Amino acid sequence: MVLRRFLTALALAAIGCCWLAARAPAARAEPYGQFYRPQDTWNVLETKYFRIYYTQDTPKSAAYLRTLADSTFERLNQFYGYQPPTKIRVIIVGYTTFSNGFADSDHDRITIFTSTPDFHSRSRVPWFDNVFTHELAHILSLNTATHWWKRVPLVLGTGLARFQQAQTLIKLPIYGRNFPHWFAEGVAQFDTSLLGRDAFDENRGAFQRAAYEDRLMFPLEKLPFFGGEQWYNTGLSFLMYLEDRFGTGTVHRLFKDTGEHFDYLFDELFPRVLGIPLADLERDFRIVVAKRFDDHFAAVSGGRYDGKPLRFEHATAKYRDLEPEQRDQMREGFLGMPLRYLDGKLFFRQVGVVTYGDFSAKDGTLTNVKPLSPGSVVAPNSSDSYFVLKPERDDNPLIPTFFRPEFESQMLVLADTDGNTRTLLRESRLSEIDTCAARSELAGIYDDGDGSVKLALYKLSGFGTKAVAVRRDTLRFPLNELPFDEVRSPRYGPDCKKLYFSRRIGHDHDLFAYDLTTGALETIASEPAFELYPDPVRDGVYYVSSRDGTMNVYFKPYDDTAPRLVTQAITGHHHPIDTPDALVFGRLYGTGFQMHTQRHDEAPPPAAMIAVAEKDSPAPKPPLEGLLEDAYGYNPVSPKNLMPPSLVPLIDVEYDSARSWDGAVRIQAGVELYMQDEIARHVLLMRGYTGDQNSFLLDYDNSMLPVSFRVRAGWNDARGLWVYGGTGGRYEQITNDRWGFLWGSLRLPLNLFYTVSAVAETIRDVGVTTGARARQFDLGDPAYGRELFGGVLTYDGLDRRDPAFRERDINKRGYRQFTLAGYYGLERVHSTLARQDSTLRAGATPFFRGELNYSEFLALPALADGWFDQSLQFDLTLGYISADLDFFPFYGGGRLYSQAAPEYNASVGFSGYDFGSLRGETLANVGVRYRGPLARNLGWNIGPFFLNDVYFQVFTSWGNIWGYDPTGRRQRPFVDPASNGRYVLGDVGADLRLGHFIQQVESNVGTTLRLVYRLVPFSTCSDGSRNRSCIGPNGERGFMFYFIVGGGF
Amino acid sequence: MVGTASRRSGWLGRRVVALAIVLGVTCPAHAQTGPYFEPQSLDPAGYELRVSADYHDASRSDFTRPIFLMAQGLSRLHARQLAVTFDLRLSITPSLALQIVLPWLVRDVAAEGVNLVVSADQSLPPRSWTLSSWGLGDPTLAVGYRFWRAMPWSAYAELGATIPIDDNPGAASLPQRVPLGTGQHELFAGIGATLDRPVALSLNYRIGYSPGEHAAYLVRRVANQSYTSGALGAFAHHRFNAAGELALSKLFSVRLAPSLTFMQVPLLIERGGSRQLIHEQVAVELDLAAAVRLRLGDAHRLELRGSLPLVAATDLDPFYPIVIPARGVGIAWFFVGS
Repeated sequence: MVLRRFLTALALAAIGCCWLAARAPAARAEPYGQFYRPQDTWNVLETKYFRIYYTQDTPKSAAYLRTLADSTFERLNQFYGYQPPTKIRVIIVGYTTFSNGFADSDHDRITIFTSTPDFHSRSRVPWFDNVFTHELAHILSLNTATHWWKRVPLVLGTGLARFQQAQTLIKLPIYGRNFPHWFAEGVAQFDTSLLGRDAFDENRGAFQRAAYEDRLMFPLEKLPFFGGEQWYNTGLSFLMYLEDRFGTGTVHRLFKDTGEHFDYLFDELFPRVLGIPLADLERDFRIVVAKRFDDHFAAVSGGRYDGKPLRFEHATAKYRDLEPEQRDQMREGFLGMPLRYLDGKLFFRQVGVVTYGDFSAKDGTLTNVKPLSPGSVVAPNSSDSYFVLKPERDDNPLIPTFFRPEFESQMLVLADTDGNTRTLLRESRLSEIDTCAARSELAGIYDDGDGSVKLALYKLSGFGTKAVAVRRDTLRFPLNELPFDEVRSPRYGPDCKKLYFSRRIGHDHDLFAYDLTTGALETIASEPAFELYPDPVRDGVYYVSSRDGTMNVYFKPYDDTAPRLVTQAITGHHHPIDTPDALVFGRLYGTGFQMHTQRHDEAPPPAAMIAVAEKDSPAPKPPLEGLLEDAYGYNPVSPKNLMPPSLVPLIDVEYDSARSWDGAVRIQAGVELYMQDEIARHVLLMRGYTGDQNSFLLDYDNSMLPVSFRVRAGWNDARGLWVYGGTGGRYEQITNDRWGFLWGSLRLPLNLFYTVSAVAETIRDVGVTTGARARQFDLGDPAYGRELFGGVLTYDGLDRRDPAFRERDINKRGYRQFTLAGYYGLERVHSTLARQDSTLRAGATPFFRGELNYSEFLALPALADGWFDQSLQFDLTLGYISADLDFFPFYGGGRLYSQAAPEYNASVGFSGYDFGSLRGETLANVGVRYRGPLARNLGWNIGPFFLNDVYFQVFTSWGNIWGYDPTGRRQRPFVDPASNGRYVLGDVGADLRLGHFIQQVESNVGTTLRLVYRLVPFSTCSDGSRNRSCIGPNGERGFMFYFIVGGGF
Repeated sequence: MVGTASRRSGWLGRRVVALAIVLGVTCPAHAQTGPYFEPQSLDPAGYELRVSADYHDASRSDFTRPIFLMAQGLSRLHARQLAVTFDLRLSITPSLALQIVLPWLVRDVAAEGVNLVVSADQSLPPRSWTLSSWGLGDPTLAVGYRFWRAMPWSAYAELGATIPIDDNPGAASLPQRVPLGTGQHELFAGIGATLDRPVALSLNYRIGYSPGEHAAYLVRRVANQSYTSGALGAFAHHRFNAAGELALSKLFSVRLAPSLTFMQVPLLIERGGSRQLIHEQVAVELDLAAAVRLRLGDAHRLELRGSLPLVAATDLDPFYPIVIPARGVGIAWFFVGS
């Protein structure tokens, strides 16, 4: 009967979701990892060493990868001799404008997002060659350097202790791989450079000089905490230094030795292999870096032509007067990249906002600064309205930012100086734009998602008016097609007859002008170096070139004379913008780009004639035709498309002083297995423990259809010894407690934020057997049971599956999430129990259950020059059950769980009260939390423990859980007291939150020390009596303590 | 396994081997062995999943010594068991491995009582009854550490525990079901060595210790209709396992594995003291197992196997039929992954 109802509910839910699917809007970019796009057709291409997965959106990338992959493997593997157990898989994802690659070395798997990035700190080599080689180097080097078996990434120990007024939870991982980021990223770049696809070139040199100059070149021991680009830059530079100092093969010797020994403390590697401690090696390396900087400083005239920092009106501090840590904390106030000089105003980008102001070349100041719109670039429409490319999903103020940077392509909007914006193109795939009034035209850089960024032209209607529109049908690509084309920085000339841009030719970028009338292509600069960022003016073109090894600004007259040097950068100059009296450009600092200005009369004197170097013709790309003919369709259930499993051994210890029924101590051990197919169409998780409690959890998720489904099943069996007193002594009984659950859902994502689900669930408590007795209950006829059938609407304002997701970053942006659920339920109580306890109601009791969980996370403006990044969180929980239940009503009270019983973790709670001390059928709870820093960027480490931040949190929660009076009358929320005798309960608390991690693995471990004070104690027991022993600690004001290690930061 | 016992067979030597080979049945040691027991196991690091189905059949007719499960007089107790075992061996490092063994058991026991003597010239005929049960048997968790490797030799140590799950007979007086486990934890430690070639040889010694715990099938009557769980004292066993495997071709090999066990008989803990249940303090058993292995590609192997007790302890073992001797045949599939 139950099974029939369950199946009926599932069928109804399936029909409902299919109906919704039919009405769902066309899917756009979907989250990474889910790969759920019904319109995609995945194909597989096999080479000697690789299996390449691609869709109809990325055939060129797949074909080109085929020409590149095997030879790259053979060349790289000469260093390592790694033998992958199966073919290395490469997943090509093309539907986003996210640009990156990832290597999952545990599974010999590479993911490449095929959008060519814009760069300012990476190599000149074509990006696709670079990223593939880099990620493959990770696969080979990390596997060579891993002493543990790679299918076991970690061993996880969990511990739990519960006392009446204190609880402790510890999750302690031991990682098999113990390398800092700089070591892993450094060797990937090092290997890539050995193949000629990366180098410590002008950009890397500039980045290192900038960090050194600002005293922000972090010590290696600090790089586990912060680093970002320094993981790559310092890593490569340091490993190259070691290779120079100790001879060819040193870097690979280090990696091979790491594979032969497990160093719980990474630093032990260096004395063993090189005979010198890491600290001594780093000291010598820094001497080399300092000399490199001094030599460069002398070569660029001591910075005389480096420009001067553009000063913002109301600036309270000078960057150079700050301490290094202050520079980093206050960085956003100084950042700026010039974009355009339009209508007498300088437009620039600052922290994702297009801003403008009045620029004075005379005193180098910017006044009357105003934001135009969130966005990255700007182009003119009229004197008070501008085209802006801004992040998708940032246009609706009711919906907070969905944090997934660059995943959706930017949208084109028209923004006016009154703060209004109007959307012109959604998901435009454009990254840079310019407009021409005379031609009513918009030029942009268009990402085709298959490795190319092309020059695109759109016709506009109503140009110069607020009714301007993009004529979508006029989209055209005027340039000849080049494989893996990379065009950047389109800029119309002053007379609008030519369109200037940079374009990759071979291993660098050159400047060209496209004649809009004739279609002819004119070369402006094509030396064997970067030529970027054309800014055409009346008599010539400003641009940046690295012709002498530094990114400096040059000016090339239209009269075909040689270019002249305009600036000399201590670090690097980018994006020059001409203004009537001065040049403004982005100057690289240790914290990012800041705007510098140099008056035209301050340019260096004309040097001797610059000899323009000739550039060799680049080698043609191999033909790609016919390379996909033997590809075949992707089968998500084929064994060769299943990712090898990950296995995590688990050890769990629990101590619960309140549990006398089956022993206070429980020790379990087990293993967790995770596997999925290569593009995550279906995923399986199994977790089994055995010991004093045996448990098994199976979790399967399938996204092969427009409506996804997920099934979870769990079973628990706990054996214990019940010790009790009786006449004549102390007696013991063996106990055995069993229960299980089955849960299934059908899930339909409505858009990036909303998901609707149909859920069915049953929980069966088979009960406790004591001593040598027959078991009275079974799964079909349990002691207690509960069935739920219903629907859930969830809103998730962030995507934690984003490859770039970091909890700390998202916490600074704010987000919202909520879950609204409604269920029809049945509670089952066995008649045997009802005979023994007259308060129980035998048989099936139908009920309705509704729940709302709402959280709003607000990032408040940072104080103390950006150091105090405070945040406020608001939580609301409401719940209603229509009947008086004995089994699984709402529970309240703080309770920590180890991994042994994950299915209980859904309870709500007031952390100042005992778990289970609040229970009932009507729930209301409001919580407010405020967080702020006590210490940031500490960078402390003791052995394997790395401590970075210390934050505090103060919080309070108010509400209650109401049930039924002993007379059977339902208690009315806030009108009647609940069974605990109170109308409203409340607590206040404070946390000390430590942001830390273990070994060199930057994971979200975190420790919380929590102290909660019960402001409103219980006044009665649930039966209405005032017996203190029943009320326990909840009957008095007092503290609850929590100590959580590994619970996240 | 605690208290593994076998029945005296009287078959010895070449007749056993010949029969095993003729039947296509070779023998691994039925006694559980650690992840590094066999030469070249988990080398290179990887995992190995063994799924096996074994049928065991044992009978006892000597009840001069009591058994734990039934207090009634018995004349015969015939036990049959089908054990489906999942045995996962998992490398953590090239030298360290984890083993998890989960047995799924189906049991059937036929018991025959003795004549009930009413008077000197009158007796009631014996009563017969059957018990059955199924479910998860006692799992085993172990770690092995290969501390020395010098081809073709290797040596290792191992440490582990067997965890009791189900020891409930279903009733306090006459059992209604056969418990699937003894209710006793066993902690064990072992040491062993292997030789890869020319013949694959394994030798292992393992000592097991059970600290003595309560068990649901040990029922103490404390008052009318009032019972509590009884308990056993601490006990230990010593097991020597050996195995030799000879490859007859790339696809086919034969294997012999004798094992010798000295099992201490536990004391029964009473209120105020302990009591020795039987006169003997140690039971000895010698098993011989044989197997044929077929190599089905790089990752798959199939094993057909059988085992016979050469020296049995069934008539001494008070755990019988909670512990059923490994007399029978089986089939196993090994999957080796990396």
